Amino acid sequence: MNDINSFLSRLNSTINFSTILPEIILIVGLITIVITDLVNKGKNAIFLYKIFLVSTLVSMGILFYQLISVIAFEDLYTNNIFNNLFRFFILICSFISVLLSVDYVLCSKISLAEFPLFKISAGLGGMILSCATDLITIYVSLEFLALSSCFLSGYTKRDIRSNEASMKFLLMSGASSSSLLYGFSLLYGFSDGQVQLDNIIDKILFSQYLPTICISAAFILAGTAFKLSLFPFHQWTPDVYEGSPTPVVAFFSVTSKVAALSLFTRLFRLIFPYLSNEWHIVVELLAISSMILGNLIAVTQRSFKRMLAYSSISQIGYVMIGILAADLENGYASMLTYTFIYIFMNLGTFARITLFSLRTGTDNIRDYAGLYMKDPVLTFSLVLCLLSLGGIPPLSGFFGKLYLFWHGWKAGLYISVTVALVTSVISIYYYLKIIKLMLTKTTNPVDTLKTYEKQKSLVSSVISTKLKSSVEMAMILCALASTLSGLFMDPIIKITRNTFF
Amino acid sequence: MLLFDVSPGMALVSAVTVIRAKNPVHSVLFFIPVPRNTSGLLPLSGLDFFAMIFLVVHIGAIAVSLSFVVMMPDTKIEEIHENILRYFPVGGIIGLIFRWTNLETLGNLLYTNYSVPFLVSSLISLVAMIGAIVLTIHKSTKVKRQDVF
Repeated sequence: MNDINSFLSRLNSTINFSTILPEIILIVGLITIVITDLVNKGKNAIFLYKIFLVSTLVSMGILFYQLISVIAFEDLYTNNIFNNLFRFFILICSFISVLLSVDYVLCSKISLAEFPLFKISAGLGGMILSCATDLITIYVSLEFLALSSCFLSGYTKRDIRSNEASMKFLLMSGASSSSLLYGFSLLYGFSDGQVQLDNIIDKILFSQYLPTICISAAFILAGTAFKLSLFPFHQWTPDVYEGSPTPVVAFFSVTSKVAALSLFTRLFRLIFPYLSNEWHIVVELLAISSMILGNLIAVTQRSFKRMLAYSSISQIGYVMIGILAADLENGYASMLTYTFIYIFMNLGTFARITLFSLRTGTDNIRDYAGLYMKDPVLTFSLVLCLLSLGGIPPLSGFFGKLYLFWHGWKAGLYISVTVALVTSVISIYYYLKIIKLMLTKTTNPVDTLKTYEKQKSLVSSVISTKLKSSVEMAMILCALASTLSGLFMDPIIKITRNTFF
Repeated sequence: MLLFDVSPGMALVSAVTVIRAKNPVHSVLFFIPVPRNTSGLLPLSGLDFFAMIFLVVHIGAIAVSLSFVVMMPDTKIEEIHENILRYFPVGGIIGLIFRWTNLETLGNLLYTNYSVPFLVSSLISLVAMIGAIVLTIHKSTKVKRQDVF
């Protein structure tokens, strides 16, 4: 009894459980989903989705409460605003992406019950990654996120492209983890056995092994660049995005990028601040090449998902400018606001693609021709999201980019901002190409019109009206956020401002 | 003493045989001495608990699953790409992390200071189990199942 008492008191002194309460709620949700599915024996699977949504919402509520009263404590978790904001982003991503995936999973007759399970576990991995300040926790949560995403991308087993996508994702995450681990092991060695990031920086600050620490920085950069799909490490992105089922692509185009962003920023800010000249140059190079490559190749794509993959590569290039431009008075405000807006733009676009592919079954851009005649609501909302991605005022994408490039210019990154501006113009071309295709009537295939109508009736007979609106709810949410966030930029910027550490 | 003199050599020879054997069954059989000899070296550096865990994990789990892999498909090909030598640096790194030899000390630290990675690893195992089943289950009517409930 004495042992247990001393153990519990030691446990309480090292971990404050109220700080990880959002994650605990997600874990409880995960277990509830597994048990409910077992008890119900596969019937009434929609209930599982409701459990997921409820637990995510409760987590978000608790996170809000914690954002207001910042609790800071030591060791594995730090609770500053930066980390909390990233947790909040990941919760939003999970919530909206599950909203838009319900119909898809029902229609394609894949196994229904494990889908929210994997989404919860991936969201959980992302959330723990955003808060981890410990090499082991970082690695374990990164693996958790990668494993769940791998299962998600291979979810439609009978589709061969899905198998290919999950194989490539597995290889990519293996390469990324091994590279990261090598960098971490070098850091561990040089800091004389310290695992926590704060202690590592104390120890290696005045060491004489500077060239080897640069090698460690290079490996860590390679590992995180894989996840972020920056330039030479972006090869997996188009194939994985094209092959995986669309709601899954929506999920990990935002979640894994947001989680990787928080990891990247934290590692490079905490451990290598005195190397900042070196890695600034390298990251600038990577960002410029990602922007150029992403935008140029996206021009020639014929599949919508592939085009969005390349466009997300270029968006991450823009966000890298925000990371480089961080300074004392503004923190990472530009990067965080742009990430927030990017989440909604991207999820909105994917919601509409999901709806469209449910109704017609194709992913080709050519088949979007004349959509205005068949479904004006879908067309209009897709127009909004695409214009926001391109950066047209008064939508929020414009404000996000404006803030980002302004900060970049002030920080002296003249080349990057110029390249970013030029490639933004190129990106407007391929977004507008789709909009023009949708809005103009074509004398093209009447059979797409026919299949459109047929699928629509098929879909609405399968799903009840309550669920049919969940995708549309996601669509509307994202459309609203895409347009109004630009007008409400000021409070967002105020919150994201003091995030420099 | 003879044990610790012979072990590294035998580990290396078995590892080379794993890669070069023409018959895949030979490869799997020669895979077994490799962790056995490697874990024989570990008590030398004072890691007694780790030596036992090494045996259980590598031989009990990995060698068994390797033999399943060899059994199932129609392997007439001569190559299994299993690079055993990569275990040595990984083992070295993990050996560096586990500097405590006593199981009690290990448990103390694992459950308090490092409890979050520990819990997350358990979640990883859960998700990996469920995911493996999701990806490979094949519901056909010809399969006979046990009606438990």
